[in-house]
Amino acid sequence: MFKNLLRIGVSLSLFNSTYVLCKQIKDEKLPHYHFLNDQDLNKLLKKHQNLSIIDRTYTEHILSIIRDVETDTVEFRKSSDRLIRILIEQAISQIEKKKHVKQSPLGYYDAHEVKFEDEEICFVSILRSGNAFLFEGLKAVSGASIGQILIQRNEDTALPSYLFQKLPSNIKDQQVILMDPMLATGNSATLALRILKNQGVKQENVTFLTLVSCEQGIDKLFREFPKIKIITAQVDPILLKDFNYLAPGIGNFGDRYFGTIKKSQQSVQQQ
Amino acid sequence: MLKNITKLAFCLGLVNGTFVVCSQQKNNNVLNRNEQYNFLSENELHNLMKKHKNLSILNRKQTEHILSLIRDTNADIVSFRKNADRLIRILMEQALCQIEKKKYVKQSPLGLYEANEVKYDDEEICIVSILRSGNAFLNEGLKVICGASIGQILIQRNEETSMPKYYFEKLPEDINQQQIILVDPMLASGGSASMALQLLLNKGVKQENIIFLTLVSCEQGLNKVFQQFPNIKIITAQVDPILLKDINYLAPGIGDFGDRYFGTIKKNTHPIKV
Repeated sequence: MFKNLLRIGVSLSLFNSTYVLCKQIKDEKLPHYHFLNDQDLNKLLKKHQNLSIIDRTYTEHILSIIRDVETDTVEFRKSSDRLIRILIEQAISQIEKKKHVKQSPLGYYDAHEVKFEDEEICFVSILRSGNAFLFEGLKAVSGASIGQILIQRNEDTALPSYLFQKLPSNIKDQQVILMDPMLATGNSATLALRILKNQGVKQENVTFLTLVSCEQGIDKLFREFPKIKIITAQVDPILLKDFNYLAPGIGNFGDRYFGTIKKSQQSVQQQ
Repeated sequence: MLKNITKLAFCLGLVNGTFVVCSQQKNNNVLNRNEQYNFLSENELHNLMKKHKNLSILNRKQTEHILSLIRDTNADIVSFRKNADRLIRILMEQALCQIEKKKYVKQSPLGLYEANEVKYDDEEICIVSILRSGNAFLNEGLKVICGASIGQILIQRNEETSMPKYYFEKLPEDINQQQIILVDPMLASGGSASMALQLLLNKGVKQENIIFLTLVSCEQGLNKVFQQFPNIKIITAQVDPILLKDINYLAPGIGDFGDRYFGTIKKNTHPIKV
């Protein structure tokens, strides 16, 4: 009786250990990506004066949850919203301010307030993924106008195609905050910026917000539009050439935020 | 001296009086130029609901105040958004209460009770919005159903012909197995809504699984949609009496909901589209 139990115990443990070993071997087939170190990031900041990368300590934790393939839709949305809020506050802090003198309960103080009213700020989102930024955007600036440009990337050629736009009629007089979660090749962003330029928007009035970007994308944007400002949460090291996706990246942000793809199919996509 | 002053005062009084009378006249004229639209009576609304079993109109007491603030052409964008969000929240809750429920027995701190809960997980509910105005519903929708999937269909109405044109869609892959809440603020001629519903049916969605939410609608639109799709449910906040034929806008209506919610048109260019 006791011997049988012992035999069962041994065979179970053998099974378990072979399973663990096999799983480890399978996991080793996935590539392991390391992030850029502080020196590389500093060089990038010196090269482009109008680029801001948000402090790593702010964004590490939240981005890690967003990147995780196991994260479910609710958690993904919550964390994305947190990060988007940080980006939007950063964007607003870079808008021109005016000095007043105002009165506090105890006396006068120097007031530095944003020079423009809510209505003179316009959020332009690159559909479909950029729409995720609007929820938090409206919480921060309740009276902002919202413009939308629909650009879809053709999955075969990786070239963007422009489908539709709806922008405020007076957009050339407004402070524009352009939003798109990922900046990979920079093709969609470039197309959107050209559309804005055709509407008469000046480069100095445009701030581009993105969650993750890569060096090639940033270089391309600044070459064609040197005076815009770009704020990004993190710069990823690699742009995979065949699919033009960032690595490690977030995967397809729109599909994950809007839940148009089931969680179990996400890990397959990244291979 | 005193006589001159009294003469001056008298003249000023005359001038003022005529001015006041003239401006009143002008005001009267302006008021008469704008149409005064009356809403449907309780009887007419009752008849509509008897005719269409799957139609729900929200209780007038809940929606009168909020809709009045939304319709007001002088509403600024912040208060428009706030009130639109309140009304959308009410509609969403109504939609959720109409989804099938399952019975369990659960335990409260004091004992067992009969639990009637929505049969489906958050992820099995999909909110499909008809861009661009339908996107306004997503803000509140996600607050109520945090884990819902979101689908989007872009249909724009050609302003000259009033015919809807389809541009683009992005829907979850397993949409034929999900409970759908289709959202669009206005239901006028029913052209865009029919196009969107046809698209959903082509993807394999069953009519009984669709609930269509809209803020204001009209009888023609409701008739058209129910004729083609008799098994869907429609929930609307109010039914407006008139559909203006030339421009296919509802009257009194809300104007262009998308432009007002997203602020793509300046407030002082609003007035009266008639």
